[in-house]
Amino acid sequence: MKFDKELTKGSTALIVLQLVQEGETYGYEIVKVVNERTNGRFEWKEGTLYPCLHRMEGAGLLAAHWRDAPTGKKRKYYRITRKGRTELSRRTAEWHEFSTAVDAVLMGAMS
Amino acid sequence: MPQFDDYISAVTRRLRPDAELQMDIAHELRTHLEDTAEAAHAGGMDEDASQSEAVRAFGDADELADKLFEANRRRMRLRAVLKWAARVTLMPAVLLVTMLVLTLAAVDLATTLALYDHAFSYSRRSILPRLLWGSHCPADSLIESHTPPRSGLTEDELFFAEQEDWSVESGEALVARSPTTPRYHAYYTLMLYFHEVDVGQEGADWTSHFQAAIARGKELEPENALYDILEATALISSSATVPYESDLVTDLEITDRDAFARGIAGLRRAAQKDAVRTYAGDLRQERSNVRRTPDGLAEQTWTLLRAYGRYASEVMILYHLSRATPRYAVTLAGEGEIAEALELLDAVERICIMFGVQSDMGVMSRTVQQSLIRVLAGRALVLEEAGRTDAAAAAREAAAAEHATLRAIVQAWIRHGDQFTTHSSKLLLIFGSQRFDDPVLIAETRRAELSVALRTALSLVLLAPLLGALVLSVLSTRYLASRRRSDGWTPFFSSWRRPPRAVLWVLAVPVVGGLIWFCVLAPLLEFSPISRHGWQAVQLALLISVPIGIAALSVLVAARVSLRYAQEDRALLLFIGWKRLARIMLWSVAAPAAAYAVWLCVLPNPLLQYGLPHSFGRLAFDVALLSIVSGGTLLHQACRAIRERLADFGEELPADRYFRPLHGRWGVARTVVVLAIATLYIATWTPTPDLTVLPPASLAAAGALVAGWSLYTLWQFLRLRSDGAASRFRGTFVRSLLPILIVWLLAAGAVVHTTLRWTERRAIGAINQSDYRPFEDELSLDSGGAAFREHHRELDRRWREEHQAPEPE
Repeated sequence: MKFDKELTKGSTALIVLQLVQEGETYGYEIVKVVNERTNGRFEWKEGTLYPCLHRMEGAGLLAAHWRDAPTGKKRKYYRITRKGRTELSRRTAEWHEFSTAVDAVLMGAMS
Repeated sequence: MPQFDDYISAVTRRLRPDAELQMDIAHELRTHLEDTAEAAHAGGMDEDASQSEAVRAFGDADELADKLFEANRRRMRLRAVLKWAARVTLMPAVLLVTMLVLTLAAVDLATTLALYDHAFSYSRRSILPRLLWGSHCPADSLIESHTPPRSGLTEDELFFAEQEDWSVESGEALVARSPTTPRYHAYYTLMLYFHEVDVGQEGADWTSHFQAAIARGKELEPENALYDILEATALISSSATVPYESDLVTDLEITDRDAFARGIAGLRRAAQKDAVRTYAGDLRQERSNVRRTPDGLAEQTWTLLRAYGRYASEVMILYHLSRATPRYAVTLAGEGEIAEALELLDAVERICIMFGVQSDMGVMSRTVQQSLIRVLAGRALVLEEAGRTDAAAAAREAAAAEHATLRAIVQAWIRHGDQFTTHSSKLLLIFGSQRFDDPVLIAETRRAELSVALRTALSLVLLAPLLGALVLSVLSTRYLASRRRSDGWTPFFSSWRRPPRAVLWVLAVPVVGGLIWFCVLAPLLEFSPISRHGWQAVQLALLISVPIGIAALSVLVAARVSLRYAQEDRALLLFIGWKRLARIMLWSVAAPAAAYAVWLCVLPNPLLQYGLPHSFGRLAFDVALLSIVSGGTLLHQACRAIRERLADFGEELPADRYFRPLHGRWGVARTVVVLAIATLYIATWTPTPDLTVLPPASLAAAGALVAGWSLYTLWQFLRLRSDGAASRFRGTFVRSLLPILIVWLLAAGAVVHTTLRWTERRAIGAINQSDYRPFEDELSLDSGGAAFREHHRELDRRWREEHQAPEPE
């Protein structure tokens, strides 16, 4: 199922923050994990992840550094900052509230 | 992978203004694309198709380029501002800080050298070699014949003034002019004693001149103990080897028992006489009265030096006597000859007191006290040997009382020195406390000395390589410019291609420095201060005005350099990262500094044993060795850090473009230099305080090695081929890292300098605050040592009472 572009736009940052919070990671791995967990339903254009990562790095939510991956290849790893954690909590709460509200409306309509 | 190249180039095209960011993001995207392509390839797709699939999955290039630009726009703007700020401010700031620190170091160094010069030799040309090579600066050289005589002298005074001081020839001239004048004859005999009898040296040679002079002296003045003492001292020191150690239980090695016994008998004869009259003090006083104060020497310092130099000859006599005789007495006591031992000590005590009653302040009083203490300590040992414990305890008490007086004398010297400038007081303290037998004062004095010496060495180390690097960079630039290299590398000042300008620039540094020295610093340093505060005000004015002038000049130069950078459009890394910077500092600055601190504190250091005049050369050697080790590591670590940073985004530096100061030929050259210096260091080790610590040739060789290695390193750095990553490597090193490293080094230097000054003040303060100064105000030079003489008159009266000797007429 292909989601509406406008619908996914606001959730990308939340997803990325959540995945980076789970452990240091790099762009390709983020895409891979998202595809695994959603069974490829997001159908991201992989490149679009990077502007999001760079914006969050610029905003101080993430920090990046280059290091060797276990495979020996040099990769740019991202980790979440304290500010990023706070932002993640805020966005998660916001998302829950939003989805609850949307659910409430939808459930009301259904009942 | 051409598909990726084109795609990445298209995606990152809008980031071009920030080359470093562009490289970084390009490499990040490339790794992603490669991973995707590899996964597709592993899934069975062929290579081309898998690359196409990776690019397709990444999305539209134009759209992504816009998004990436938008996402990084704020960062790019910030980085652009930082880069601009770095270009405009970093270099000028570095030059400013460098010039400030250098000026302060130069003023500090100049003041120290000039005052050291005044205090010890006032022969300006010889001061640096003396400092570096640790040669002795004895008090007897203070009043030299080249000091011009005053005007309006009588014929006699002029004759006297023209005689070279402290030589046999001058003694002969005086005796020839007036053969029956006792003081001239005493002076002549003293000169023979020092120049021909060669006291204290093995293989001493008695000359017929000396024996004849002694006989003649006894005829002229039968009651003067001087000739007996001189004869006895010469006999004793020529027939026994006196160990340098200050303890009294080390045996004397007597080579000629007969001569030694005659010497001891001579001492007993001397002790029977009324007084010892050397006249040396009077003669020196007269001599300095007919001479002008040397140019550039403060009147107060001149007064002090004259007082200091007056008793050099007596000091030597007492020094040798008091080392040999108490030891011999202890040996006699061990053989059961108690009475004979006590009799000998009585005689030497009497001689010490004879010198004491006519001494005024200064080195003479100190030597008299030191000798007296040794005699009293020897008596205590002898009495203990005899089983007379009460008497031994009394002797020990007497020694302790005299020790308190000795401390008071040194205390007075230090306080007197404090009336002068800070530097001269320190140096007088150092000089005045040589071989002083008080552990507390020795420890504090050595600490102060160490600080002075380290500060001076630090100033030298800061001044020399930075000025040298400036000159070298200009010269090498000229060479590179002449070869018209077109590899994108433009070193400093390359626009000044015409040789006359480059030459002018090279000449400008010493010329401007020389002008500042001769027009500003030298006259002010020669200013005779009315008070200590006046001198401090002059120093303060110097410290403020000179750096401001030089700093203004350096800002102009820096602005020019910055403008040149601003015109260049070459990729530059902004920063290598805090961790890498910390690693550089740890291995190149903190670790060598810590190692050296351990060396100074834990291992036996000659400076702590023998003092500044003996050890400065060695200390400069230490600092030279430290700087080459630290400098090599600094270069190595810095280059490694940039290389790693470049490798982060896939910029590999080939070995021939990468500067590795610890590897290959550079590494071999550095190891050879360090080993050579270490070998010289060990080979020239002479733990004997009376010898020159470091032969000039070895220091020159070490300096040449360090300079040679530095030159070779700089040369190789400038010769590196430079394109692509290598160009970024060098650009980063010169523009970003080098200024940071220089600022760091200078800041570290300033901190060390301040710490050393603090240590110095604390050490001197500890001496000043000691609670033993009963003679504090009286025992000053100004009162002419009246209290000290009175003290010895009292001792003299007591001695006469005990020995029922008549009072002198």
